[in-house]
Amino acid sequence: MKENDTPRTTDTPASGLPGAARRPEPIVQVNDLCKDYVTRGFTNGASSVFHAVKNVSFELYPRQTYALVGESGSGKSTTGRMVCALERPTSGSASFEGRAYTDDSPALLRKGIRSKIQMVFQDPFSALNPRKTIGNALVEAMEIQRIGSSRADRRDRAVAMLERVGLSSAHMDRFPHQFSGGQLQRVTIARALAVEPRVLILDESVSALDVSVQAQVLNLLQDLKDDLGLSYLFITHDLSVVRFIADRVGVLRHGELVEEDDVASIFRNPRTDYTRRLLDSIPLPDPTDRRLMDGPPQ
Amino acid sequence: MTAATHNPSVPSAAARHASGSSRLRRAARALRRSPMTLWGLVLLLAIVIVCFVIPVAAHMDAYTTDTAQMLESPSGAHPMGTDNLGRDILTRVLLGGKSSLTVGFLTAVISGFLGLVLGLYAAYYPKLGYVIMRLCDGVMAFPAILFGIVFVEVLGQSTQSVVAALSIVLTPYVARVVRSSAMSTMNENYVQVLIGLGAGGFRILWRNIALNVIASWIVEVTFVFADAILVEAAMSFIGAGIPQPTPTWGNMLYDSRTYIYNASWMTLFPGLALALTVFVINMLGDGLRETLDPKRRGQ
Amino acid sequence: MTATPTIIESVKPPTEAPADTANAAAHNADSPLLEVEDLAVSFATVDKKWKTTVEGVSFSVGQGEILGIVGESGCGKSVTSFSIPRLHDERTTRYEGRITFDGRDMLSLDQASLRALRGEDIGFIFQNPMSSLDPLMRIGRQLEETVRVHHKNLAKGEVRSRCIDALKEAGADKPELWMGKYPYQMSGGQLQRVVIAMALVNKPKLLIADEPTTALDVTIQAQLLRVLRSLRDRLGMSIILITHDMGVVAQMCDRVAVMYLGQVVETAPVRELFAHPSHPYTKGLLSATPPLSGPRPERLATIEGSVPQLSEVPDGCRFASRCPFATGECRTGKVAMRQVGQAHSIRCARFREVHDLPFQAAQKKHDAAAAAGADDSTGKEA
Repeated sequence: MKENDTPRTTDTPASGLPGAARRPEPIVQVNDLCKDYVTRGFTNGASSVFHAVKNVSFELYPRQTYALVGESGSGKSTTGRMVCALERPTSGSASFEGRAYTDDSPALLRKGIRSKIQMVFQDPFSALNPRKTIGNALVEAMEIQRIGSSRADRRDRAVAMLERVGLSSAHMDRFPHQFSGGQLQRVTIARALAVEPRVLILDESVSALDVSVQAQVLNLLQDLKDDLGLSYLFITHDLSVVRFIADRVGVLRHGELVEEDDVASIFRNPRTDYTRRLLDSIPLPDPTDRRLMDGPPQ
Repeated sequence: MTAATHNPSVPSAAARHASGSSRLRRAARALRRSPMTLWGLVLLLAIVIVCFVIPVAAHMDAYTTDTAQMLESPSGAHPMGTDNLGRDILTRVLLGGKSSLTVGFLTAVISGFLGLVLGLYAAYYPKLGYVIMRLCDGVMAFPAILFGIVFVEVLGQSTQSVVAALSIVLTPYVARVVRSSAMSTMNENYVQVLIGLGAGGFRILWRNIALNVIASWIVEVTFVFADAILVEAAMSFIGAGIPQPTPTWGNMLYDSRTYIYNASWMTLFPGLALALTVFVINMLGDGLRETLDPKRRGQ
Repeated sequence: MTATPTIIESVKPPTEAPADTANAAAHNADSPLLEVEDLAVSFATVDKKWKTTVEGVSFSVGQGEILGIVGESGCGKSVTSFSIPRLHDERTTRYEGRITFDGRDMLSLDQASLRALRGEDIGFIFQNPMSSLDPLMRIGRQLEETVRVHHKNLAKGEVRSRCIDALKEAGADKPELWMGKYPYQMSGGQLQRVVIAMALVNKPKLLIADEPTTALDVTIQAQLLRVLRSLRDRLGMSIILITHDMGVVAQMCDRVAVMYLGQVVETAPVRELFAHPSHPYTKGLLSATPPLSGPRPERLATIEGSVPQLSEVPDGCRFASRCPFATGECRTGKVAMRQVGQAHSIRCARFREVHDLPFQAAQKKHDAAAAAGADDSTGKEA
């Protein structure tokens, strides 16, 4: 056979069957992560607990892309925020290269995980301070992590980073409102990379972009991953993007991981009804195959 | 695009300088586009110069009483007439302006500073914020004048205690505006990004959120400036302001009230000066509100 | 291996859909329900000049036809659809060209007749359901009001039963229950069903749906697309479906108009469009979408740069600055729509050469050429 969904890179260790001796240690390991939100009643003070994330476990391997897929309210963003240590889990943990960090103090996080794991959000306009120039935003990131020897050095590094994501030194002294959405998303990626992280958490980072611009950013992410040896935790609802970029996929529903597999297997052989339903709901860009119209409208 | 932009090795100092001068140019352009701000600024400056410089330069005397010239109507020698003790009203209006503007300015600076600090921290630390905001509510529940009178009664009548009283009364207004503006800023993702980079509270508050709060803060501070002048006048009017014989617009109005029918100029000129000053400052505030709105920038 | 992929290409025989389209359209084949000819829409700017945002837009919608208008943000698809019932503020908007709806000249109608038309003959569905619903009013009352505006003398029971029918039509499982609810008590998908019910409660001839499913989850989107489809199939409604999603177009539409920067650049029947995309922009859009079947590509084809601001519309072909096929001739003069096939036209000066060339090949050549020169595609000028 010549199968279609062969993994792109040959050095992706977690693809294929697990258990091989050469399988490396995961760079990020997530163990039984839970997040509860307590809501208090308005009148009687009685509280009810909402389980946003329930016992989610998965591993992200070096140079791999793990996609967390799910619909709104599935807990995928909350999971991402916990892995990025922006939110504390109710129970469970995440560890980076074997060391759990989710209960670290802010000071410890700052010295440890903050430079290793960075997050890129969906809306780049909201992710940049409107009153700061692009250059200053990048320099500030390096300042916080004490990267670079002087301000001039940091500015040079910032220019290099902007050029790496397809912008130029001409953009350094401009403000966010002078850019288009696609360019700004490049800027936020550059800022995340400025602190030399090993893992990027991409929370719907290409979802708000127009198709043509989305393709540019996806290509850029692929290049960066290969060149800098990054690992991605890619959070999205868009399965066509997942098929393009992911090595492994976890499907979340109501806070639970209902299925996890290599990307090719998920698309070829979904094992749960839910995943199958997700896949069947994608409108195929093919007018000769209108299977989407076959289902019931309820 | 400037010529320098294509050279990545341009020293950063040059770039910073370029952005500095372009900031000035941007400000000039914004002023040209907003006549309200421009006129507010020019007129306020004119009032300040007139009140602070002329009385000194012209060796004017606001204190010597002259029973021979009581209640004279405006004339060449006394353009605004004289009061019931024969003092020149023009001189007293100018010096009154000096006290009023001093009180207003000091109050604006003090409550502006306190309001900014309290507002920012109240927004950033919710529990502390709750306490601060309830205290502010408490202060705001008292009418400003009432609070001022009590305060001056306790501290003794002096310019300092008037400023102190007004600052305490007006700080909550600034704090509220700063807090709500900061809270909406904190919902933006870049604050999350900063936390994710390991930034501490000080950097997030003062080097990021503050930048976005400053516009509404400046506007609010100008209004506090105007309010302080009004409240000070009201306090002086009921005898709780800056002690006599130092002229203030408030105590001049107080002195004039028995003569309002036969010497209306005694009421008219300090009243006009007060109204004009408050109007100009408010105009400046409204103009700034529009100019500093980021939605209107960069077009 | 003969894996049976869930997504991958299983070829189905042509389904019944096109057949019944043909049926529905057959009755009035020569008089389309809506005809837009050479529409231009200009808005007054602050300094009292007119800025043209949409121009040279022509298309028609037949009886019982689903027309897809597709394009990226800022291409003018919403402006165009708002213009059909003249929803823009008349004080600051100028229309040119011609819009004929159901035999009436829309651009010369008075306000009273327009009001009578909106909601009665033309229904609207917007992307965000909450923007069309009053948060403080029960669903039932809002629906009933929509009926009463146009049918003042209808009996109470009749109004209510019409609303319940519309909700059923929109796929509500418990329409009676829904009538008594407030918007905040319902999910996004349910609200969009309510909005659909509201749009169809007066049985309009034309439904304009502006990104009706963009904000929804993919499973809910699939259900709502089926609802819209059934409105056409069972009630013979004509639909204009505005979307940026090529998949939605492929699944739903009979014909497609592709818009770019305020112009229609390609129109074709849906199968023709996907089988032979001819305009470089359409080719680019289709190849920039990550594929759901076939081999997984190393990289995606991209259209370089981003959509320019409407204030910086270039001379000549509007797509020239991003087009891998563009030559000098593309950058001057106006480009007209030319026919390249059965009911298939494109707005391209090089339509003869371009329409058979694949996008990627041209792009590689173009990239090589561009690599030599400076890259000016990034950076909106400050």
